[in-house]
Amino acid sequence: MKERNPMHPLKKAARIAGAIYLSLVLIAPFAMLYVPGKLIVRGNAAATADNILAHETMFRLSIFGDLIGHVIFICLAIALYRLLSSVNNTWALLMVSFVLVSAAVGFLNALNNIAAVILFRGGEFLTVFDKPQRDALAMLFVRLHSQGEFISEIFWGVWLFPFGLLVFRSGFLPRLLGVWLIIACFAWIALSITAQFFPYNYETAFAWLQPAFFAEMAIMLWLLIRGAKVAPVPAATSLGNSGAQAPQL
Amino acid sequence: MTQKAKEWSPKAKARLAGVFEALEGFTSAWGQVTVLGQLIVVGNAAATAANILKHETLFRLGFASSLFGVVFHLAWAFLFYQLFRPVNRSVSFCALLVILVGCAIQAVTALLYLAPLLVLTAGSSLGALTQQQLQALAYMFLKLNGLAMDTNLVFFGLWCVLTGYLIFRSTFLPRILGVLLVIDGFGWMTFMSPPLGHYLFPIIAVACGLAEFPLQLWLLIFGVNNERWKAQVEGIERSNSGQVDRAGVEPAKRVAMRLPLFI
Repeated sequence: MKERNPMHPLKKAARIAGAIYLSLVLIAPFAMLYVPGKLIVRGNAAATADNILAHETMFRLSIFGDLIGHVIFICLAIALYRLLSSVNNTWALLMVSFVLVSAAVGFLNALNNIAAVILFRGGEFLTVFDKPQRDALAMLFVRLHSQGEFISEIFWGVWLFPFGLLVFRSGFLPRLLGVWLIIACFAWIALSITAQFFPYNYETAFAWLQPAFFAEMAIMLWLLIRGAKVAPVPAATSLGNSGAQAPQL
Repeated sequence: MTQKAKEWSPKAKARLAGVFEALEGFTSAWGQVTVLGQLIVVGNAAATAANILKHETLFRLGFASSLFGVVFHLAWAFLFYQLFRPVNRSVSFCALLVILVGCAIQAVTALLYLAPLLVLTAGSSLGALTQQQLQALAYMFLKLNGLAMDTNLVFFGLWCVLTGYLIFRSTFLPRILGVLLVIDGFGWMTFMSPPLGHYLFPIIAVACGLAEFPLQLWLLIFGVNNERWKAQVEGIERSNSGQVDRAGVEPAKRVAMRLPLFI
């Protein structure tokens, strides 16, 4: 259909989505795992305060990374929409909707960490509280932030269902990855429920569910390296569709 | 591709929307109204705190229920968007965006719902605060949860007004349902001023019962009229065809795409 084009548009859309995914995978662990793990001491407000004040830049970077991560998440959803809307527009739009709500929750949740920094630093207007009280309040906001992430986990899960379904039905991506993504959807939801009702088993649950979560890593690598498998004849219709749709988004 | 054959009929979508609407109504109301109403002692932070700690599992269930309500809410709002897109695509999309903002607020509300438990069971990390201070904090978060819920209702009201208009203009649902939903929507929008909203609440509750409940039943039982829905889709396509020619897409291809597939 378009011989002049060096790369099939579907393949190109897949590569772009993969690249955006990669940037998310690079940023998210820093903001969500590395920094909190290093600075936050569970159950000890004073030690956490010392850590965060000593490494304030790092903590602020993690807040920034958190925010950027959600911007990238929205871009990723749009890129995947471009790739997959030709398969089924309904599910593709539902996927984008879940991601948008997840990002909104994530943005607002970053406010909790910012509130914690304000309290730890203790400006003039906070002098009516003594330091242990300030630290305790700040710790509360740090905890609220991590609880907010448990809420986000539901959405990190549910968006994978339409995503997985679209991959499964696409015909240009491996069906196995689609199934894997849908399993990951239920794994995230299970993890979020564990966090609420059996908080002490959270680590165990995470370890057990880990294989499911690699689905996202797998689809990311597949999109980036293999792109979309485009067979000349059956792809003609999807090519027509995606070609007509992509600019209109 | 093959999914054309698998595409659900408008009637099935409408029924599914009714199911999700009922699920959302039940989970949200149970979490936000029943459970909290049972545990909160108005104006008494200490008694409220004692209640929450005594019924911790119930409280957590209430939280989870109101959180899952958000997912159901997204699902039915989305199906409504699909159903009413042929009536007016811009208004339908606008309604979807409004409800997405509402859902995001609803999800954040869930965090405020959970916060009291966090305060009350924090243990050593909040050791610097006295028992009374912790109870007051917990109570404050409960009040914030209520206020955030009110904010969500404003967006929900706006959605009701837009959707009511769409029902009124549609040919596949009774017009009276649209009129009632618009009135109901204006009712919810009075929560822009929470005191006014709470003052008018008995009236709003009646409007809600008269508008949302019949709509839900109608969707569950009758769904929408498949033929009329399709007729409306085709009507829109005909009236749009001039526009399409200007855009340089040949009509034959457009018919093949049926509804324009993008947002």
